[in-house]
Amino acid sequence: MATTANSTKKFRHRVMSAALAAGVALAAPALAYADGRVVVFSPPSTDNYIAAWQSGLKKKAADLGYEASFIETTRDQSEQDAAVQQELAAGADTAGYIWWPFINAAGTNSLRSLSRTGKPVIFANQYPLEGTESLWTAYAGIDDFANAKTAAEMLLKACDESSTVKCDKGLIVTFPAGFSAGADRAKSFRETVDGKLEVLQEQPAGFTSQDGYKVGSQIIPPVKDDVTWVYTQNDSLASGIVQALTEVGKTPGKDVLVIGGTCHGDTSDLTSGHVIGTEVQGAYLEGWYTMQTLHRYLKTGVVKDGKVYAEATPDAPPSDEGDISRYNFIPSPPVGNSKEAVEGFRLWGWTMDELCNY
Amino acid sequence: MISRLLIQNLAPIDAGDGNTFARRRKLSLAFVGIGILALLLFGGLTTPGFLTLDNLLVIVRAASITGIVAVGMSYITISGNLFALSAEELAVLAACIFAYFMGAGFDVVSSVMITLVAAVVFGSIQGVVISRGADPIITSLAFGALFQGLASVVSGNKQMLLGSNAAEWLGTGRPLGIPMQSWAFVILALIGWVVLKKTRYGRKILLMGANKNTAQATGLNRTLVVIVAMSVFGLCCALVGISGAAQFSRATATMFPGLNIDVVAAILVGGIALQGGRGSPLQAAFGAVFIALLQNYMLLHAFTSGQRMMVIGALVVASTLGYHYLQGKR
Amino acid sequence: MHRSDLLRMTSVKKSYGSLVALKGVDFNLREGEVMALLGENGAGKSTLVKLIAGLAQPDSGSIEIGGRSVKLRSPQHSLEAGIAYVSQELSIVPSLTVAENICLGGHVHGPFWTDRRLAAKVKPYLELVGLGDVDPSSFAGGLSVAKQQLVEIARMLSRNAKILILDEPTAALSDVEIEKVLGVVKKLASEGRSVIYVTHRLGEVFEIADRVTIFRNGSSFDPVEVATLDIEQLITSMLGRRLNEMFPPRATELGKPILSLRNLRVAGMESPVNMEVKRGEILGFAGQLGCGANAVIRAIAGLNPVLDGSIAMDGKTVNHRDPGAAIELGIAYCSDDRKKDGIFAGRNLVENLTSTNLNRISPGGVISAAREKATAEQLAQQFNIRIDRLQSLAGNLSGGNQQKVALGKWIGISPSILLVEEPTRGVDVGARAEIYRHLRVLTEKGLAVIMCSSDNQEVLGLSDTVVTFFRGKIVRQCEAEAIDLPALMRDVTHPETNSPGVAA
Repeated sequence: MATTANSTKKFRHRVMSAALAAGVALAAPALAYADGRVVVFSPPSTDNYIAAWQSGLKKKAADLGYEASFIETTRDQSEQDAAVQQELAAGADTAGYIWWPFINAAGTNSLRSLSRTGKPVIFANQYPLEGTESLWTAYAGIDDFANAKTAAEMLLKACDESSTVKCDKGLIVTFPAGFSAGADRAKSFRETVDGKLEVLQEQPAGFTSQDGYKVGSQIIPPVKDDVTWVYTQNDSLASGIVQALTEVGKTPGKDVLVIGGTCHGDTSDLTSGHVIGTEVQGAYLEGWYTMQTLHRYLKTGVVKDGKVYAEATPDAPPSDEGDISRYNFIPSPPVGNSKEAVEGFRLWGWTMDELCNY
Repeated sequence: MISRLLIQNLAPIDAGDGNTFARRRKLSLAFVGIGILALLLFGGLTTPGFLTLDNLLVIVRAASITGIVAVGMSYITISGNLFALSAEELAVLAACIFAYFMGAGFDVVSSVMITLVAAVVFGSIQGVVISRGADPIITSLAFGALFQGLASVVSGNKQMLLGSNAAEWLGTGRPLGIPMQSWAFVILALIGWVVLKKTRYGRKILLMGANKNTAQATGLNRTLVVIVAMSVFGLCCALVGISGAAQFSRATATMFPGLNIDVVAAILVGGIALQGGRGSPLQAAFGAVFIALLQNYMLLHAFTSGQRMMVIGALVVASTLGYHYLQGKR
Repeated sequence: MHRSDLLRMTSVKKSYGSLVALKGVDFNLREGEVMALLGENGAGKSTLVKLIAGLAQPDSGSIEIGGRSVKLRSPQHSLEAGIAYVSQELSIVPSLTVAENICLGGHVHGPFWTDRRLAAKVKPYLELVGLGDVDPSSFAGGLSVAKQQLVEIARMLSRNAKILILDEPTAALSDVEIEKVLGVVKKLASEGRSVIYVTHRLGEVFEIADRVTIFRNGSSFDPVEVATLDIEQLITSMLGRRLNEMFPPRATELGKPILSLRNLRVAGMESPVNMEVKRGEILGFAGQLGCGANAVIRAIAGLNPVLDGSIAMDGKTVNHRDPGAAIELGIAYCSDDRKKDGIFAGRNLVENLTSTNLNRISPGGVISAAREKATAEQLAQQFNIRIDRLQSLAGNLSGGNQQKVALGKWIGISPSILLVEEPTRGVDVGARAEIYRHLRVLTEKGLAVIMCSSDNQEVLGLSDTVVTFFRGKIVRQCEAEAIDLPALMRDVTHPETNSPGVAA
């Protein structure tokens, strides 16, 4: 009997180890790093934004002497929850967690499990839900409200300065329905332009140029004589809109002002003047900054209340020292539509090409 | 599993009375056409600017991407192999391959040829597996994951810039004022229709779909039929991928989200029988146009995306049930 | 001496659509007897059994049990009336234990049970069917087919069935196993239960039955005491008189041998096969399900692998390995299930008839409408299919016309050998004669036909040469003129009782 029990135990142990080896790759060398291991939960890096985010995070972790373990999950929240349970069951020594949930609300239970370890949990990218404040240490990432406000202000300024178009009616083309950042941005944009511009229609499209074109080519023709501006939430959508506008005989930048909310790798629409401007929201930078936030907390152990926006200095990145706040936002500085603006752009020492090309 | 469910739900037709059966079949062919005309009429009466040539061109253009793949997919369905759910991934991979070779300095013609050949190979590999008796849905899902992964590797999860605008006309050209994609869509649908109805290969597809066992007993080569159908499908995915990459001179591994489902919806709305052996690429094309028409109408009336999804979903359900009834099963 | 009638059915009629399955049948069953039901396929015995089991309801007529009129609306009703039905297809669940199978859907146990309690409950029933040595908690899937059959009977007994219906319980069993099942049946009858025993095996009737009811064409004869019966009489009653004019004249002279099988071994046949078929000949295989005739035909069609020996055409060994190769050699095959693999039900007749011959109608890969039409019309004329029906779907035709299409499609490729399984299954009498005639016309043009059929009269009437099969062995090979129906019947059902000297 004893041997049976023993071998069963052994077998279980083996299954467990195999699962861990598969689920938590690279757990073993953690001890080799002086400051320990950071476990990062995120959606899959087949998405190019997430891939860039991860590489920024990884670089910063290495610079600071951590090892970043990425646990990516595909498809849904339940898979991510399972990954969290496996990671915790493994009991490996961990300095802290970075949590990018698949579906924010559905992931709350896993977040609770992470918080119970007593290790810091940095909430990443997705703005934390109300009521979960006790479950995470700090938020580090983008501020969609500020991002859209900046875009709206750029548009209003361009409207004032334009001699060819009198801004009035326009369109909003957003990220896909259900993606909370898109809704947050659209709301903030509307609030900023309220009373100054009229929104004809707001339509969700997606992330890609094709998506932007597909929606734009259909909603623009009927209103082509009325539309004076289009707010898109990234430059890929913007290039789709630029094409749709061109096809109905409009000259973007002259007859209609298009603003892209988030830069991407191709600056040709900016330098050609088709798009009036964009904002640098670097995925790499966001990952980098998220890691830095965790590191700063591990050094000081202090979290100040309130929000803080990292300064958009051209050359010097923010210091690796000092207390963090509950909400730590990366800057998303605007970029105008000239060759000089694009080429001369620097943020924390990186060029626009480096930050936007993902 | 999925396929089995589909087959059970749309099980073979009880022959029933000959005349009503034949009549119902014809009706099912006309169904989607009537739907399109009704919607055009209704849209035209209620929406200014709906029944203009410009807007009709816009609608056909909007239907093109889904439509091109749906035309390719129709051979798979008609040959009795349900669907290949790797359209999205194969189109993405083709876009990335095309962008890769363009970016590496190859000229447009070579890049297009390389991409087409690669896509045909990827399509036919799936065909080989399916012809060995593997479930087409499971097989294509697995291959889809493989293609998506490959696209990620090729692109390094970054946007791939084509490096030059030499290929742009493939995505944005408008010969005679009609977009390239729309030309490709219409021409492919017509070729697909003629091939199915008028050639030996087309007849083989129909017979294979009508009764796989009889087809094999009469010496028809299932492997060949499936491989060619999958290659045609691969080719159509590649055309979509190339035009997508050319249109904006870049490719990413996240292009064409939801294409698989859109294509399946077009097939269902077009009324191609899932058990195979009936239908034509034109029906798939009409299905795609019908959906685009409805989407366009809703966009012009500023339906929210939730409402739009609901209506399209209801249309797919209604047409699935409707054809089921028309095909004589109670 | 008459024991009381337990079950009595009077003037029972049942139709399925236009097909009359029972034309007013009387039937009775006494307490404690084994009643055998005999008849050809489609004679009505399965329909009767289904009515008793509650699986179908009669259109008119009455059923009495123990003198009281009953309506058996469902299998549940029948069970409550003490009737248990063991169908040909076993309903044993292999992944459950023997005990669980016996209690399946029954009321042997309360809401709670343990393996041990369940085992104790079913033990008596297992002993009743002679399975006292079987562990009730072993998995049913591990038992032999005969034992599964007995478990199924035990299950019925556990419901206190007074009347047991066994539908061909021995069809799939070996001799030793059959003895076991028959022993149980006798024992059950001696204990006062009544058994309705449906079978094709005449020997069994003599071994266990007290009386026999013979069915023919939807009518039943009065039951006969088995003790007063001999096997010749039985066969004559079963078949009655048939129209011999149905069959075309036999071949007057045969051509050269076209196909020969030498020491051919295939799965399904216990002994090697040697035979020859000549141009212009119809070679008929007679035998029951599983007799091996189909295995031989399918080997020739390239569907069953040749294990040893050879298949030769025109003197050359071919031993082809797949249906495609067989077609290339000019061997066409029509299976016994035309809906499954004989026709394209959802396509029209033109496409069906030209499906074997796509190359001819599509020169250069493009289908020529004129050639297609001409080919289809020529075949349709040959097979007496109305030209104006060429556009209808094959699935909408009658069985006879479907069979004509299934056969006709092959004629387009001018095969040299046509293999047909069950050429007239599900075909009405009129169309049968027509199909026989077509086959004869084809052989007159030099085609060789090999057909197998479970309809003995068909084999005898149509063939030039007859081969009889019984359980994987060839019983005899002879000219059709040299054998009569009773002898053929004995060969395929009961060769042991045969007079000596006929085994080939």
